[in-house]
Amino acid sequence: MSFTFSLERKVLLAWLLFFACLASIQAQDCDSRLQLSISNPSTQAVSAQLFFKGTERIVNLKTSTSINTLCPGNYRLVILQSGYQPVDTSFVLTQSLDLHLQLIPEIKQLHEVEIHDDRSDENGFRTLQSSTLQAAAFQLNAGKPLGEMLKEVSGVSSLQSGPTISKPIIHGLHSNRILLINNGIRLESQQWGTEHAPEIDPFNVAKVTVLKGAAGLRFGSDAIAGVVLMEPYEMSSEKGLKADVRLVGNSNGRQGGASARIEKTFGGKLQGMGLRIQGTLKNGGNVQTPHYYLANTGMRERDASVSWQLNRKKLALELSGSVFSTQVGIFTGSHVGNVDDLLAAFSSSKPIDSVGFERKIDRGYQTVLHGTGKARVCYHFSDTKKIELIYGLQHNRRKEYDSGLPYSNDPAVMLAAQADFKISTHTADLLYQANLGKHYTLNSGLSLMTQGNVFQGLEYRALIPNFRNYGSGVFAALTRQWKKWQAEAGLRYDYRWLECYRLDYSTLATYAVQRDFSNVSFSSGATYDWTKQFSLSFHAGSAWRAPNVNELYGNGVHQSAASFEIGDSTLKSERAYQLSISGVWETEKSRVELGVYRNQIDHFIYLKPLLKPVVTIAGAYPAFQQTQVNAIFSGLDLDVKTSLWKNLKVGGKLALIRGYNSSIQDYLVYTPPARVDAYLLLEGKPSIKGMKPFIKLSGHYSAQQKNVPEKSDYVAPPAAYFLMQVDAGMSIGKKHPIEVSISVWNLLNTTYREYLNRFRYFADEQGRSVIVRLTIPLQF
Amino acid sequence: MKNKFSAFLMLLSSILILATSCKKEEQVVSPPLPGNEFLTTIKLHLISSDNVDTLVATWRDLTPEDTNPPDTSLAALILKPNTTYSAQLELLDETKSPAEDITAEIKERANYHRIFYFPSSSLGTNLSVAVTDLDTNNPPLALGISSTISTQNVSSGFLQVILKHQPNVKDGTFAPGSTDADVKFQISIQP
Repeated sequence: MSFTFSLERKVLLAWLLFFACLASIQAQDCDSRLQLSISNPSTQAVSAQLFFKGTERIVNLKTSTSINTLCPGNYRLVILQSGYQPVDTSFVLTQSLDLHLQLIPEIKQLHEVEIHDDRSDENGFRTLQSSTLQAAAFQLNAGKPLGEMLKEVSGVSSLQSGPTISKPIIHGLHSNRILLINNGIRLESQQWGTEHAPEIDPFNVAKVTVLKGAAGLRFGSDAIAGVVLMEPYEMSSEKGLKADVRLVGNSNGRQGGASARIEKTFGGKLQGMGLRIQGTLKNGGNVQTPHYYLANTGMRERDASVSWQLNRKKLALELSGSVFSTQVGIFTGSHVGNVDDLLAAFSSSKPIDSVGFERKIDRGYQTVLHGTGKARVCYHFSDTKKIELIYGLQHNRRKEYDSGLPYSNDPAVMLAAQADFKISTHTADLLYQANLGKHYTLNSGLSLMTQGNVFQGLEYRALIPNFRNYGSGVFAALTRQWKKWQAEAGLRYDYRWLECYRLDYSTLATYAVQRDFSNVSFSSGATYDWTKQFSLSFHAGSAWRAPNVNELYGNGVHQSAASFEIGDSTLKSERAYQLSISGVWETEKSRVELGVYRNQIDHFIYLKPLLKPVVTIAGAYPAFQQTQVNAIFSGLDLDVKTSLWKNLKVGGKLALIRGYNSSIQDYLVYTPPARVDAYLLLEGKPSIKGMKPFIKLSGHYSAQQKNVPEKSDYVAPPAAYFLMQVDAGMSIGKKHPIEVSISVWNLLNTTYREYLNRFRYFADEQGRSVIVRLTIPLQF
Repeated sequence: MKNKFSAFLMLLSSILILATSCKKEEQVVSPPLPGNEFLTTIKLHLISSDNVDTLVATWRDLTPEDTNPPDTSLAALILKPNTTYSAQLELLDETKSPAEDITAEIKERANYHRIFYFPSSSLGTNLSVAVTDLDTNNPPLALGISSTISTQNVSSGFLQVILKHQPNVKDGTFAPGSTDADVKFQISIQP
């Protein structure tokens, strides 16, 4: 008995001692030292808030301040300096700590386009006209297809096939003349099709850079009109677990989208390693114009991506994979048998087959499955030399189901697709970048590519044949820096080999046809920083494009275009020579950017209307023949913005394009008409962690395209139209703010048709849409 | 530095080998799926009401991807004035032998199809076509494979035959749906 009592006492004593120790630690001398130093581009004194255990202390910082009487523990330091990005950092203070802080001038948030400053990276060359959209600005357009979201960039418009299919047009050119680069891998699918949208999940895109012009040097063939570079979110280098969910709802089409992302970055021994998993789901039903629904315009999308990265001082590794899967309904009113059907559809005030809202997707529809795998190794020999190897694997399976069922009793045939394409692409890029001496930078690389395409499906005539191609390219470019000047020049050589496999339908024997192409591209330019505010750039370059298999061998009725398209197997490569001059004038309050360009494309391939229609059992179809001419695309992009008062900004954009067929001295069909945009933006103060609340009113005017050659189109280009839009956003909550934004597109519910929408023969454009977006950070 | 550079080059070449050693599916070109019929031929069979005259006109295009116009010399009918004929339309896929009968498919999916007959304005009222068969809709709508053709005075022109595909939108009118066939038969009404 005395033993246990003794033990209990000992335990009690031990606890008392423990608490005494704790208390003593608390009451310990608060003589820890915190040294704060700040790199402050501003001349004003900076005031910082230091939070410790619920108390706040204001510290006035000049360049360096030292506080010696602090208690050890967890601290939070916040600096809100107008004109600079907020600083919010947490740290643990034990005995002494030296904290270096950097004030970074504020990135223009959300709605403004920024010119990419750091041009020394391998993404492009500074003298080439380009625009960059940061994540927030780009994601403000969420709710639209990717091609529509890119229209935010001046000089970029879109080619639509109804409300759900859209692809970008840069300076009047699209499809095979633009490269879409997603996370460093060139998107390879059936991109020749005007109604084939890019297979990219916009939720996984953080930064968009559009290079407008002959960017063939770094990226290889096909980049005649430009390159759209899409990059995913960068992984944090600090240890942490980040997750968020983004929700988008669109009243038009009753479309819902959700995207979730979880990212784990490691510390300690695994510092620099990160893993991100992301997924997106979208579902929409019939879209509405101001007066009627568009039948069978629902869509579904399911995407997922995984990215593993290791970023060390000298070595960076990345392994990524993604899957994009979509089903898109094709507006039933666009399925026409022949030209008489098409003209009947155009002359009726609304689509003949009328419907209400429906989520179900019936025949005709497209399904696409696109898988991408990427492996990247980057080694920094030193601060000024690095080498990179990127390997990409893509597999694209596209099936197109016509609304007309095949004439058959065989159930397998009844379920089969009219067109079934399977294309697999391997790409490998070896890039070497080095600073040579004090003034020169070398960018060089070697690219390899191989592709195999298989066509199956019910269509008697293959739209494009089976083929295998190999491509290789090697390039080198030098950039020279002086005080006010930067100049660059580069050369590239490409070789491409193509073998098509076709079936002789009478003997059923397979035969092969080969073509090969080799070309040199160049790029040169200079930028002069005239004054601190004004800089002028000049660029001259060339790019080329091999004729695509559908241009060479395609032969048959293009269903929704009600035309008979005839290929030409003797087509040569297109060659583009481009000149552009752009100037940027920027002050604290305003920014003006003006760019003018001239893109001359020799052997430009386009569909020339033939005088005699082709008579088939389904009626007469106007015939179009793939022809080569010399074309000139020239134009102007103007982007202006200025601050009127403290929080009120105003801005506008103008884009003019002229597409000219110099071989026959006439205009080229399907050139975008003049476009003017203007906006008024009111912004509030940002909360510590959240975004600036804002409200923005914008207007868009599209002129009528009057420069159209004769007989090249069934119906004249539509009338000019004016649309209004309002956007607003704010963050809710202090600790982990939720970002909310609301947009109303086509605010006035205007009835209009868009020249570059191939479905304008059949129906009006979308009516008013109300979009609500939520970005919810998740905490673990 | 040299070693690391060559390491990268080796990586690149191994990728090359990997990529080119994959199986070459594209070298196998799939022939058109068996059992997939499509339209090559439309025949109009006429029998006069007194069972004396039997006529057939054939519109045929066996090479649809060929841009040369098809030979339509057989797509012509010489009819007697003031006569009534019973007509049957026959649709075939003659790329197969024996030829595949599409007419049966259309009859099976009668609720999704309608054949229209439009005489040219040069014939005026001298040629009229009355469709006699029906589909299984409630109330039933005309189909158009069987019809009665009546002639009056001497004249000439053409008869346009249009097969419309009207899935879920068939309402008896011409407008809905899309055109699957649109051919013209030359008509000459002479004694």
